[in-house]
Amino acid sequence: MGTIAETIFMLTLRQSLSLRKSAVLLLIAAIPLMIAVSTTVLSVDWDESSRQLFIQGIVAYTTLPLVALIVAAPIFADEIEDRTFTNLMLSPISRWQIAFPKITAAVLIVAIPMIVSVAASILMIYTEETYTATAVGALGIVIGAIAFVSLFTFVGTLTTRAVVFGIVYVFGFEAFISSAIPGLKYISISGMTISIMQELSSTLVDAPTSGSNQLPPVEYAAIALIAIIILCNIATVWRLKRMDVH
Amino acid sequence: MNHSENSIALNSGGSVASLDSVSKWFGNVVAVSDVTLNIDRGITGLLGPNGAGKTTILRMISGLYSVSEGEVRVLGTDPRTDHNVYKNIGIMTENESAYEFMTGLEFVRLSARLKDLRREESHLRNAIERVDMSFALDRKISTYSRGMRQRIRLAAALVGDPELLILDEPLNGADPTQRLRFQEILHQTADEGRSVIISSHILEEVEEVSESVVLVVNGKLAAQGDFHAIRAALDDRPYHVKIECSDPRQLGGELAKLPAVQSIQFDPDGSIVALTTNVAVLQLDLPVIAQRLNVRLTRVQPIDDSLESVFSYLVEG
Repeated sequence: MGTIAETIFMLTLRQSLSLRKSAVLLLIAAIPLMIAVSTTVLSVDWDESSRQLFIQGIVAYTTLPLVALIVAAPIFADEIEDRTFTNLMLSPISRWQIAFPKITAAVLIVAIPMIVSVAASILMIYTEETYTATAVGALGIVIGAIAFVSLFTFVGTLTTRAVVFGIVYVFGFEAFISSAIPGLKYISISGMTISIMQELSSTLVDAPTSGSNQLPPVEYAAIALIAIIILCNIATVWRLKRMDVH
Repeated sequence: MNHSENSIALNSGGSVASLDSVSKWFGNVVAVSDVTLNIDRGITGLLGPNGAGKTTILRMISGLYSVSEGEVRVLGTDPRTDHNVYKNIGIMTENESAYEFMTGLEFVRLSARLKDLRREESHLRNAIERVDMSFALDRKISTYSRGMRQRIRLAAALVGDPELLILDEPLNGADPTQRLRFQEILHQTADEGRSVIISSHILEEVEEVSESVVLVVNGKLAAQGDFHAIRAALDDRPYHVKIECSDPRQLGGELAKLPAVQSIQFDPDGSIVALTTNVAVLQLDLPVIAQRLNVRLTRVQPIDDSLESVFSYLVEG
């Protein structure tokens, strides 16, 4: 990364990791770990379906998109609102060189605490193939984090109320509607991420793919996620090029 | 375009910024309408009442706003597409857009890094010393007064000694001492061969620093040129002066005889409204006449001396 990109990357880390924001971020990211610790203390037995409910329902459909939302939505929206964004827009670099370090910083901020929390949880609730499950979980989190951060960052360039949109999207669409209506997992980032995780998991442990047959096929999921990531980032840069900065 | 190429464009063209038939609208609101102007090297004041369109013009010159119609060139290039031009421009926007969690030093350093400046520390020291902010460098910006924020933001704009400095209402919140210091810095910048575009809604503020002015009213270009010529035009315009005194009939009769007075009206509240083409002569003659007639003056007030009315006069010719 060049000097200016590095400066924007560090600035984004500093803005996103204020004491208050860090506390909220860690609290939400720690939800899977808190559930795993509670069930361990209470000696609850985990079967395959409850593990899937945990990974899908708690991690992929709720916690990961929520953490991505609270990190990614404000990375442009807050600066646009408090008018400090002019400082970046008046730097002698192209707009994608502003977007890229910000998005990279956001992905790291989302992925690191989520991987720690989920990895620790997996070690508690899985009795076998724990390393495989941890690796697949970590990879799924990275893929999901990139996709969700790309989406919410773009929304953050459109409106300063991106968090409101995101909450409706996460709890309304990802967590509820996409699971309730058959076929909608084809347009759910979480659904596509789980599809890839399941395929990886079955490949690594040489076992048949388990879980909901509502999930999109892995080939489709991979292509669709890449398309979402590329399109959202192109749209973000396009928006930065066209916007009037007040 | 690199730094030296920009210099060539600047030197050969003689104009640091130009607007060609530029309009800008936000929805149904027209902020700037069909403005064509060239801003030459030196210090140029962009003058106009609040809401006239000064900030919109400066933001289009800065590349922060797109144009709805027309073309903007700065240092020979379009800032919306050629971002390299920002290496040669220092911009201080009207908003207090500084990162509150940073210290003053961190903010100026950020500005230097965002301009990709080499020999960063010497640029920092130079810019900070020029605005006399060395004493508060390690304090958080959130603890600064408004004047201090303006100074640290000016330091951020000055860092790297840009060829063109664009300052939007920089004297807002500044006390008289700071205003003098600002003026010194601007003159010093111009003496070093760099250019400054400074906006203000206060005539006298610009008068102190600008050789040439651009007057904007209602989003349109009202006048452009040498400040003194425009100021003379302002002084020659007819003024309405309201006079309250102990004997309006007697004083009004005498004032009507003065060549500088075009007409006299008596208001229902008992005051005189004199229309004069030479307010300076009236100011001198009025107390003499009042003393001679033994009339006591209680109030003398120009009633159309606001900047808006001055600019309206210029627009209407």
